[in-house]
Amino acid sequence: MTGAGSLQGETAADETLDLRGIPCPQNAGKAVVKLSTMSSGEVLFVQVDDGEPVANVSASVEGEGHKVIRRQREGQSSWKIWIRVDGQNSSEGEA
Amino acid sequence: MPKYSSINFDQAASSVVDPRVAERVAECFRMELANNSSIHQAGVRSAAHLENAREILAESLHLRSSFELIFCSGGTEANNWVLHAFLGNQKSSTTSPRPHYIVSSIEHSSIRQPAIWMARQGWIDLDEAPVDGEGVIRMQDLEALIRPETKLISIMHANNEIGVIQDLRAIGEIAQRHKVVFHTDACQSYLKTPIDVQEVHVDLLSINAHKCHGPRGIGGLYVRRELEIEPWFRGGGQERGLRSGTPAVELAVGFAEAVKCWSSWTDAPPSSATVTDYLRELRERLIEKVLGELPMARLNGPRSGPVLPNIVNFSFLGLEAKPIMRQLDQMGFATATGSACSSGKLTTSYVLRALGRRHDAQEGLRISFSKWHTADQVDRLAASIIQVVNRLHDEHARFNSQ
Repeated sequence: MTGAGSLQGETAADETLDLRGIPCPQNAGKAVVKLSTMSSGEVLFVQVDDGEPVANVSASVEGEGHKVIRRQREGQSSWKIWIRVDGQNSSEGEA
Repeated sequence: MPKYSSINFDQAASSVVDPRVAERVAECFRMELANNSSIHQAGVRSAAHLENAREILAESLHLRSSFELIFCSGGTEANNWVLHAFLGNQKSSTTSPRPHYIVSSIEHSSIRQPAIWMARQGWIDLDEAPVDGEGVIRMQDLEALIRPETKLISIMHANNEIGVIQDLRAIGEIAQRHKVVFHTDACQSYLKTPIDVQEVHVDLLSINAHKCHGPRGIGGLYVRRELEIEPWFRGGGQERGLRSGTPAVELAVGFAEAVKCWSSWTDAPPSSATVTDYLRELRERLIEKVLGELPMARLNGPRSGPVLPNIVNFSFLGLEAKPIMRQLDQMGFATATGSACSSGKLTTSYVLRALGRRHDAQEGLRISFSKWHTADQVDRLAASIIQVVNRLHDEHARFNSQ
């Protein structure tokens, strides 16, 4: 589920996490755990189900001080989210 | 090092809680964690604690994904769940063929008793797989029991009374060959001997915390990702909808802390050996002293090879174990007869009977170690066992000669 230094779309990611099929807030909890193992400035790429998880996971990781730098729909049923550890740098906007 | 009121050589019943675990659990309680299903930030933090614990446990078993581990209250719950997970509509059906289960003849009572009860209800057909004189499953006999209706094989990894370890790889290959679900109760063996569910074919595996210096009231069931299993509790949909109910996050964190602390001591290590090797040294030290001094002593289960490092079980020919256990208790040593669940009852040991020990089937004295025991404590226990057994043996001989 993880792969350091991988490129997801146009945004580089240091780690990846597939949270599709996992309900809230377990998905956010797993994202927070993964972010806690990463270094400041690194980027986590996660995939979540369409609907509430997009807003919930984004809000939860930002509530822990990290920064959502990009979100992008992936087909009909899921979204990609890029999260920068500790919220360094500015947002790259939302796709 | 934990403080004991007496020297507790009954660690297999429930191990002393590691002080580092106790502190971590207390710390979690002081955090006032929220419900881990709530989506507010406090809930997410609680969920993060639970998921971190799940990751640590998953890594210890080499799971492909932490989602394969479902938290529950302990081994008895996990084992009962497994037995009920493949019944379908069997309870209300009078026409469909009953599922056939196979359990070993030395299973823990949390498998054996509900399985026997379910067979008496007419829900399942049940067979017991026999073991040899040291408690090892006879693979040919196990395979011969499998029939088209066989749904489940449940064979414990290590036995709680005599410590014998089963060959999960061989059993898993048989189960896989016949497309039968394989469950193993690993509550006694977890952390004490390696388990890699990617190396052996196991579909379901029960673990708990209180056998490895964690808190009581928390356990887990590994459920292979591809396996469809009936939910145990229905309700709020927690734990992938398989075990509804608010998880005990603080205890789960304590369980994970126990896993992290397993291979180290709280203070200076007593030797350069690993925890497993140290336990094995204590075990062998006791065996050597007791068998060397008492000709009427017999070791139940293997002395070496496939056996847990922390359990030893003796029979003393012509003597019952309970009076020995009681006298040892008065001398400050907690030991056990049979398993913890039955040690207070005047029952014979079905485990020793299964080994073919017809004459001394009610006389197993179980001693189980922790990494905090010292060689000196083991020597004192050995001396006390020798003293008590010799005294009871002499009294028995005098009584018989009158």
